Amino acid sequence: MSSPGTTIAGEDQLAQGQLVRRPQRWDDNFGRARIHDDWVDLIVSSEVFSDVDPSGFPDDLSFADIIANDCSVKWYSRGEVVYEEGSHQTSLFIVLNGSVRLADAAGPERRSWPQLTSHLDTWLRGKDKNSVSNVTRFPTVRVGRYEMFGELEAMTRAPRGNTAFAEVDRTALLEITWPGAREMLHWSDAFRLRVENLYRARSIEAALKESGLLAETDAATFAAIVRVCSFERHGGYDWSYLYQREKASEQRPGKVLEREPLIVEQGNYLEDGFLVRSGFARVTQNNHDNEFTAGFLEKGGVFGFAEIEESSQAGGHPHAGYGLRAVGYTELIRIPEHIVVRYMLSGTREDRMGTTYSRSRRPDADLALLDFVVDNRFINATNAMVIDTTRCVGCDDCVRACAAAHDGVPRFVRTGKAHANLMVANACMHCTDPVCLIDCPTGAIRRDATSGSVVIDDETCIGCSTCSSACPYNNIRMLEMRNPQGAVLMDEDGAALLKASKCDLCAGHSSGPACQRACPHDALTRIDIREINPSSCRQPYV
Amino acid sequence: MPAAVRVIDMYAILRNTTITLCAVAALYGLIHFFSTALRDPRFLDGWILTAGMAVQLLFHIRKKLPVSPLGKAATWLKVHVYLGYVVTAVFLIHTSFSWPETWLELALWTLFLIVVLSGVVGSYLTSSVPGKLQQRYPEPVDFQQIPAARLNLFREVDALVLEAVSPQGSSEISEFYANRLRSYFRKPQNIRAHLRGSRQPLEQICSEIADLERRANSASRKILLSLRKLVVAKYDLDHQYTKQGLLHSWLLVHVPATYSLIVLSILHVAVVYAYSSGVR
Repeated sequence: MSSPGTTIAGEDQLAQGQLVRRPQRWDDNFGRARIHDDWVDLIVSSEVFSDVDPSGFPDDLSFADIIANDCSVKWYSRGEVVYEEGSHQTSLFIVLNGSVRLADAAGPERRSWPQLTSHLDTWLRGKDKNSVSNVTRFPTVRVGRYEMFGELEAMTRAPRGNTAFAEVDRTALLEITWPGAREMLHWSDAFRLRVENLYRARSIEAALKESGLLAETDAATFAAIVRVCSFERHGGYDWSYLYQREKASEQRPGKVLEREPLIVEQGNYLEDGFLVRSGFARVTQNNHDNEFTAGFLEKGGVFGFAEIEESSQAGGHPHAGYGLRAVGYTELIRIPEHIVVRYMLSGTREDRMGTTYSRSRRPDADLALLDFVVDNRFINATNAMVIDTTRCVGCDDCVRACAAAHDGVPRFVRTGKAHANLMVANACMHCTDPVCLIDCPTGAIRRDATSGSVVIDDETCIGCSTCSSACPYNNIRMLEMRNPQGAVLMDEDGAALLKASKCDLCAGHSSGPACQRACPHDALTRIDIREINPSSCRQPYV
Repeated sequence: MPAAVRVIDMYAILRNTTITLCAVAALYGLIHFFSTALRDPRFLDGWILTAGMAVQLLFHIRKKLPVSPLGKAATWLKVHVYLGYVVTAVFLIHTSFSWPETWLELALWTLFLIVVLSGVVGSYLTSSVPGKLQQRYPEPVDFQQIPAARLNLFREVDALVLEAVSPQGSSEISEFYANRLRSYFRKPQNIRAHLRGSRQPLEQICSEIADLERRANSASRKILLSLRKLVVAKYDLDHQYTKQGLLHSWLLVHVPATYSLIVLSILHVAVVYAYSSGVR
């Protein structure tokens, strides 16, 4: 059936080469071969998925089809790297055979002299750079048969926090791409529970390691501290849809922040300190019943430490000097007060990541700018296009440059939300948490493994508009596909075929984003928006 | 970008001005030194001038090649502006600070003057107008969107006046609209007043509306209040149109004059070499 407003395609379109089959999921699978049916049967019936009920999956998206198309089996020899720390991939892995070691984020920096000389040996002998010669010399975590790893990054779309490499020869891994993992999480409660439990348990350890707050503690103490900390999540991963609904009902009275989940209320007794694991949190201050933004926290930021420190020195119970609210979703590690006092307040202030403990608001904090950045969720942006409207003359050189770099079709619109002279244009901001890629059925929209920028694979995009609907900033556009003669391509029902289009930071052009370089008045820049006013906006309480 | 970055970089201005003055002094010294030889120094400064103009033209080429690795357009513009001052100085040296004597020289002089003056005016406009507009209109309308915004205002005012024609309203409003405001809302008006920064035409219309208000009943007064708001909105829109139009229109003088100057300069070189070898 054709949808309303479309026409059934006729012979004219057929003759003009406009009629094409609508692309489907798994048509182009990044060149990945489908797993052989025998292997699929073996995997589905194996212990790996013994808790997954295949009958819980819909008929047109069977569990076997997901395994066959969204997964791949890869073999590794001893020491071969599965992925490197800092790389941007969202797949998760299950060990089918052999074992894997995960070298944590702090590992390579803490190498001892013998370890370094060993690496020098390896380098001098010219070993394959994708292999690790002596796997036992890293502070590593072992992942054994049928165990899972990589779920932390898959769930949060963050860069890899550790390096994974095969411990033994003939290590076999089942790599589940994010679209496949998402379907399994959706249709299998047991699989979701397994991943969630693993995620929560490993999040605490990973967050504490990455924060550097316990850099001086020994392994046994660290393990003991991990056991007493807890994980909590506020808000949901589907925050972009909720946010868009909020935006659509802007006539509702009340500030944006008042609709955000409250984590800590200002003035309440503070039993624990908080470490942000992922997402963002808004730090607020209440002045005569007027709650306003005082700052925000992102991954690695801590809350409540200043109050705990003060109370430990002056005696009495700590009370929250500020409020804390979840912006979208926030994952926190709750650290008991006595742990903060005993292990995390030691050493000089400069040792603690070179930041300040000051409780008072910085005098240079531009509160209106803070509200603008947090209310509009621009804190998510790592590469926003910001235009200084006191310099922009509207010459559109930036738009022309973008079009020249992308076959005549610009990938952004020179309009957007503004605060004073700053306008955040409607161009992809390459978010810290790119929610656009969560629901992509094919994984066509993804992070570039090296640079981390969000890119769309044109061959794999089926034009379903899911990413465009999910983007809370309206920065992804659906464009009609055309044949070489310029006619719009249509499917059998007469509906136009679409492709998602967005800024790709001029990937493939060595000179970087053409828009920024084309602006003759230095009015346009691409920036990590959190750097706009770093002294006042970012993590003011760490 | 934000306030901290928006501060005018006095150091850069001072540095660039110093480099420009040094370049002019060096070129003047070179030409003076060359004039002590047996060759006509105007051949040297003429070719320096030609080379300078060729480099100036490269900025235009850079703009036409936005994805080429030729550096930032902003850097090119700075070079274009400061080199423009050097080229002007060389031009004056080349002409020996004297008025043109032939028709060709007069044409060259005129075109050069137009290019330089339009460039200076353009530089001033691009550095001052966006800031002033931003100050006056927190949410300025994009130049390309102004016709659509004008049409929306026109439709709004049409609907408002139709309301006034109903039994509650008076015919005075519709007559005033037909005679006075219809043309005001249909296209850009009072361009010269906007260029001068005058609000006199707006005050005139507002005083006429105030006259109507004195005689109007409460229903009509409500309509007139809305009408006044739309009149002010249209005046502001025209102001933005005028000012943003200036930002685009100076190039309509600068670019064609530049191309004409290039053609005449080539002709000038050909004529010079046809009649002189450069030996005094």
